[in-house]
Amino acid sequence: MDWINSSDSHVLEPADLYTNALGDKYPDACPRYLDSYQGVSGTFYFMGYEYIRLDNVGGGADPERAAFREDRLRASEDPQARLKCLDKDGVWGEVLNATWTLYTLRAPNDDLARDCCSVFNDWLTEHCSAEPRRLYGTGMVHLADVDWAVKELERAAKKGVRSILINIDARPSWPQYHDPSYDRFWAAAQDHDLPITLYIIAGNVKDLFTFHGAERGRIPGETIKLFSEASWVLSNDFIFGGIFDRFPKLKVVCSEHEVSWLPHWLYRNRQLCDELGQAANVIPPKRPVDDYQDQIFHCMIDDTAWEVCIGHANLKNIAWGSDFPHARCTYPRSQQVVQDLFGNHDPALMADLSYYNIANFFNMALPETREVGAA
Amino acid sequence: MDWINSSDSHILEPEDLFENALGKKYADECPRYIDEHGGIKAKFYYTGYEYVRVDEIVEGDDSTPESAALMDEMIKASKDPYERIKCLDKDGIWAEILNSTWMLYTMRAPNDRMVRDCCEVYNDWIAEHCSADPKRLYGTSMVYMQDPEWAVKELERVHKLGLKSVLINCDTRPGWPLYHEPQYDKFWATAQDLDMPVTLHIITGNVKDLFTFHGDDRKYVPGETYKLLQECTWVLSNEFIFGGILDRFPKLKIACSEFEVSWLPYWLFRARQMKSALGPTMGIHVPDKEIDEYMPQIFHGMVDDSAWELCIGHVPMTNIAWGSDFPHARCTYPNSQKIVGDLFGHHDPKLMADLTYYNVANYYNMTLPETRAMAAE
Repeated sequence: MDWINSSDSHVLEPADLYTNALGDKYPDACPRYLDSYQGVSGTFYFMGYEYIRLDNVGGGADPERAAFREDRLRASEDPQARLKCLDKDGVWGEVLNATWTLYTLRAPNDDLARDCCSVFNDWLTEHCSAEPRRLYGTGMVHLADVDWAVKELERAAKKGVRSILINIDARPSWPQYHDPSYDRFWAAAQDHDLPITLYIIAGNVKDLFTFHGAERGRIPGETIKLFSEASWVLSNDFIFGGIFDRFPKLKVVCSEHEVSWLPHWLYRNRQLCDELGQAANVIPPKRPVDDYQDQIFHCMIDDTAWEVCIGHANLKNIAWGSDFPHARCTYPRSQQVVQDLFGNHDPALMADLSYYNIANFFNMALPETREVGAA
Repeated sequence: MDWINSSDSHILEPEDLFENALGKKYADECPRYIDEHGGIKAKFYYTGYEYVRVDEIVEGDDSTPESAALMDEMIKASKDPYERIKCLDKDGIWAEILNSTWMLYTMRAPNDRMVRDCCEVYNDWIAEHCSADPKRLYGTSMVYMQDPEWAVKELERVHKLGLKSVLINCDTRPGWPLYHEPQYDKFWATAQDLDMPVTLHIITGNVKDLFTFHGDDRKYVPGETYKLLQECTWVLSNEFIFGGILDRFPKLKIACSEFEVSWLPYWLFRARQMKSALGPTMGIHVPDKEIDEYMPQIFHGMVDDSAWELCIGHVPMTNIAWGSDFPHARCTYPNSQKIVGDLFGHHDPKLMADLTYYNVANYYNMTLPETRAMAAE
């Protein structure tokens, strides 16, 4: 069996992480666990803005998933337990994203969101220091205050984060990301070679797990929007807005958006460069749309239609991820899932998608040989 | 050369259509042409809510005598059915599904009464327009969905006028019940009973069309346009599939117009994921049937989707059809035969014939010529 790498896994922030650090400063607004919400008893997490019922995120009542729930919960907070899970699952390295702090990036209190980012970044870098060859932490930076964002990016870089997750889109009252006021931030990310992660949840579309009661009737439609948010921002800000032209070495990672949307999105972007955009006087980007694809990396978990990308997208910039320990996570069957997804293709392509691509993009330290047990 | 059919073409409403009929009633609110907007002197159309610069939306320009002549030809054909038939013959198109232009935008206007009145005026006009050659001109009526009782009556009325399909707001406007709510069921039942496909067309929903952005707001166009071109995907999932409309009305036909098709494999993956994993986790209603079983009820128009081939093996090829978008900014006139050759010509001729001729004819029960060869007609 060969090692694989996960481009998209998660930690679960410890229950008392924010209340310990920030409870006195933000008694009511501080992210924390609750025993009930809207009269429903259960374990909920309040993110400083919205509420999530924990058993929804963890995979619900699926008995197969429930059997490994304890493994997943322990591993999400304890790096040594996580490494055991990685070994069991045949996963060498992981890019580790937040869970609750993704939601906190939407909180209306900018000070709170910034403070939570700093607390999270300290905790995450400590967590990943247990095995830096295998645990690649993604820092969190709230972008309401660009001066602070640049400083926090530099601070997090010094502490060892390997990428930076930002609000996937500018919040409604902020300037759009292509506005020059953010350029110092993009420059700092480029200079530190820190990929910028655009993650679902951290934008302006409400995540499905934050719907409760009758409003759940909107989940199927809103969730399609949620999974589309990166595509809007990539088009509007990074490509047509000129960020990639101004920062040609900036790397952007789209996480949990899957990949089979790419051919259609590329077609629409080309169309906007051609007659449709010209008719509406849209200023085209400096280069053909396809030229920007090398700057964008895409994570996929279980996209059954991923093969539509062959011949349309850069397959060096796509990588599988486990989503550990969330609702869709593949643990402890990741090797089988990867085999099912990619096993009918050229082994070199399968190796790229499940191991080498993410390692190259994140400069991962790989074992001398890929064979599990030989490391 | 063989005839082709267009699943998505447009008329241009006559300049004075709404002013003549409704100008006294709605005065400044009434949709009409104006000479200036935002300090820019040019021909604009006021839709009852937003402003569109006319020279941007209509294909062509007046930069050369040839392009000016082409634009003039298309504008005439958009209003005069006999001129249109000449264009169809020149372009090798037997028949067209005819959607509106300005009325698409008026479906977003805030004055419900005025929108309903505009629909009625428009429906009378398009029915008259298409009566010039009902074998070749298939008009799509417009029905505003704010008042479902009125919508049912108007649907029945336009059916009697001879119109073959009905275009509704692509999504419910803010403040309305969602389409899967029972208030709308009589409308879906009527559309099913009358065998009138319900069209979801860009522009008529809640995402602002690119041609209504002006000045500094144009910085939003790339992102907003991508949303605009996705809007039906949200509604198909939330209302028609997970909301149960297609279960309750298994013969209802939905036509997605101007959304193209290469999004379908991804959207199907997401819909299956919602049914099998995310939906049950969240305790929401999931449909009884497999997602793919709903696909025969949904028809897709495409104009120039260069990635359309990715749909092969993912969606029924009998439910996709090419359209010209005549006379809008992307329109293929007078090169439609060449463009469909470029898009489909390297595939099995039968598949090409389906995508360019038979599929839309079957879905809309078109009357076809005895033979497809043009010279034979």
